[in-house]
Amino acid sequence: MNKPEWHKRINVLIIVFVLLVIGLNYRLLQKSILEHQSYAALAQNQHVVKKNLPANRGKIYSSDLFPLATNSRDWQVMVVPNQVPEDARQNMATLLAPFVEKSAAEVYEKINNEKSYIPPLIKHLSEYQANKINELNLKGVFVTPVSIRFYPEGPLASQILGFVDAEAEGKYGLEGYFNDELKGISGEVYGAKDSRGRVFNINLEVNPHNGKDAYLTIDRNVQNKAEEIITAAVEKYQSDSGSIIVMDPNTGKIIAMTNSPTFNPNEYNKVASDAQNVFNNMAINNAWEPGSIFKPLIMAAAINEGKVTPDTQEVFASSIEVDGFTIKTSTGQAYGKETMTQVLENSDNVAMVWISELLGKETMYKYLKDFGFSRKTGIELNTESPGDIPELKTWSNTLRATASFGQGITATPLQILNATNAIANGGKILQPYIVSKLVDYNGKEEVRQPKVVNQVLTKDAAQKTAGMMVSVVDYGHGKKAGVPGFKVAGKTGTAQVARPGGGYYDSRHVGSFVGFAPADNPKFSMIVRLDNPKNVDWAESSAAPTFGEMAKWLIEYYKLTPDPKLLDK
Amino acid sequence: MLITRNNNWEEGYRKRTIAQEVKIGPLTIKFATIALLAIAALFYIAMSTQGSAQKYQLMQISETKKDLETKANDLEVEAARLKSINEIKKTAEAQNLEPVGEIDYLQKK
Repeated sequence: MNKPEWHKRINVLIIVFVLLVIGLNYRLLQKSILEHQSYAALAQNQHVVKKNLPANRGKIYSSDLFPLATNSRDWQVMVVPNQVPEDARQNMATLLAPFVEKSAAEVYEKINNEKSYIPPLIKHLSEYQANKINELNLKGVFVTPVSIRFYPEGPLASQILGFVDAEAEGKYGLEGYFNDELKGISGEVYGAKDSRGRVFNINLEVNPHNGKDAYLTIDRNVQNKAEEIITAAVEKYQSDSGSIIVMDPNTGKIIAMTNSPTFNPNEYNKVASDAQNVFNNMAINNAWEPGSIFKPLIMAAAINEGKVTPDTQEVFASSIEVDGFTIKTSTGQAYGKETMTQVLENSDNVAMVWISELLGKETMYKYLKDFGFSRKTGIELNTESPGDIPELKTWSNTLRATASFGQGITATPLQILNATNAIANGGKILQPYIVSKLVDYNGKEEVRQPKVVNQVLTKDAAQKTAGMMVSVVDYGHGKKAGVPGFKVAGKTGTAQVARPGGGYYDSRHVGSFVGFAPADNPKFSMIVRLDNPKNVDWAESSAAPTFGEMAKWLIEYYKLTPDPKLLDK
Repeated sequence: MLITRNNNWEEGYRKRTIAQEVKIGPLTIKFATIALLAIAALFYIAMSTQGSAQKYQLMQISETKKDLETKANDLEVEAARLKSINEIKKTAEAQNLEPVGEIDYLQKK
């Protein structure tokens, strides 16, 4: 018996249904199992958001807890041209022009295209300007805050601080030296977002660790005064540049360190490419043949070795022959019979050669090393130079002779000052430091303490040399560095400038003065260097009065009491 | 009369049903399980929603806190700028203030 017609139809329907079920199951298998990972990722992208949590860069404070470097924000204007209706572009350009320091035509030219990205129309807008643009409510215009490094004091201590570049990396100075410590570690947050992109649930959060804060030994007032004085001195003596460092000779703390010319770290990108040497801190970077300010150190070594005393007398000519070279006094005159104190007062090169003969190469070399030359002082700043003292095996008699008055070797102002501090503090070479402490995000402190590197002189030798340096200021070339009522110890240096090919320039010199006060209980030590002053011939007319001006101010600043007996001198 | 616990009916018998024992069979267990699961699911959804809402509120408070911190930092920066030596100098110049060192109004005869 034939099956009824409707049975056939049902069978067809069953087959179709089965095929549909097989097809659907296949798709289900394909989507939910075979392509599971890609769909899971798609879903995650739609609902899960990963947000970077930037760490705040550590701040840098002066010794009076003023923020010399901090973090701020400014605003930039972004336009997405393909979101701006074509017929609205002209009007938008006219409205934005006053804010972006461009003409309406220039703005129109930039935004009249279909690009999805163009560089910001302007950066570094104030919050007020940003709000004004936001009030215009322009479609396709986005005013976004940008985190920036801000230096409230502008150029003050710029070469100590350095700056932070566009990639948020610290360059030069403290910013460069402590970049890793200051920048911290950024965090991340993973969360679920709603249809409007707002995070409503946090799945995982890794907190950022802000950078360490650095507290400096720099006294903002002293730093400011030193900058005023060195800037004025560079201008007054028509120098190419100049530096001042002020230290506490008893601890190794840097109180001020400045150079002229300088720059504003808030506008570091405005410094011309051929002038970027200004980023270097010359006080630690620019080693030079220091000349006569080196003499007290050699004299101290000779006293320490028992070769001479301040009262040792000898007769000296106007010149001396060493291995075929003639070494003359700076004035060309013979000083005749001199005590060692007078040798420093007169800054007698010939007498210093005699002292170097007494010491010998090996002993001189040892003292130069012990004073810390030819190696970095370890100051926590970028771009420090070690200077140069040739290896002992290469020393000739000529080098031994010239080194005694600071030629043939190079040193930075910081090295000279730190070595002179040993005369001021009873013979100790101290580790100079500019950061008093670093404080991390947990409040954990890394405190720097004064550190004695070595005892290079006996207390007696140091005191005798200090007394001789007081005589230099009272009776010698350093008179203009003196401050009435106080014993100021110091030494001038008028150094020749070495030519790159050998020999020295005839018309260039570096004037410098190093010293400390009050000599019997020093509160500060200081070095002044003026590169190539053009309207004076000797450091006693340039660096010494600059030292004196700063010393007078420091004595008033520290409220030091004058000695009435010295006021009448 | 037949007294029974069985409540079925058969012709010719007169029966009275006495107190019936409640039986919990597999079907009841299924229903109860489903009901419990449904209640638990509802409870979980309610708690989860409440938790999410609280987290959302917490995040909003956290965002507000960050905004306030940013504004506090802005004010700190502005205060530092105004207290900077350069700014004080500018203000002193703008107000024609006399430097301390140049003040010599009182002299001893």
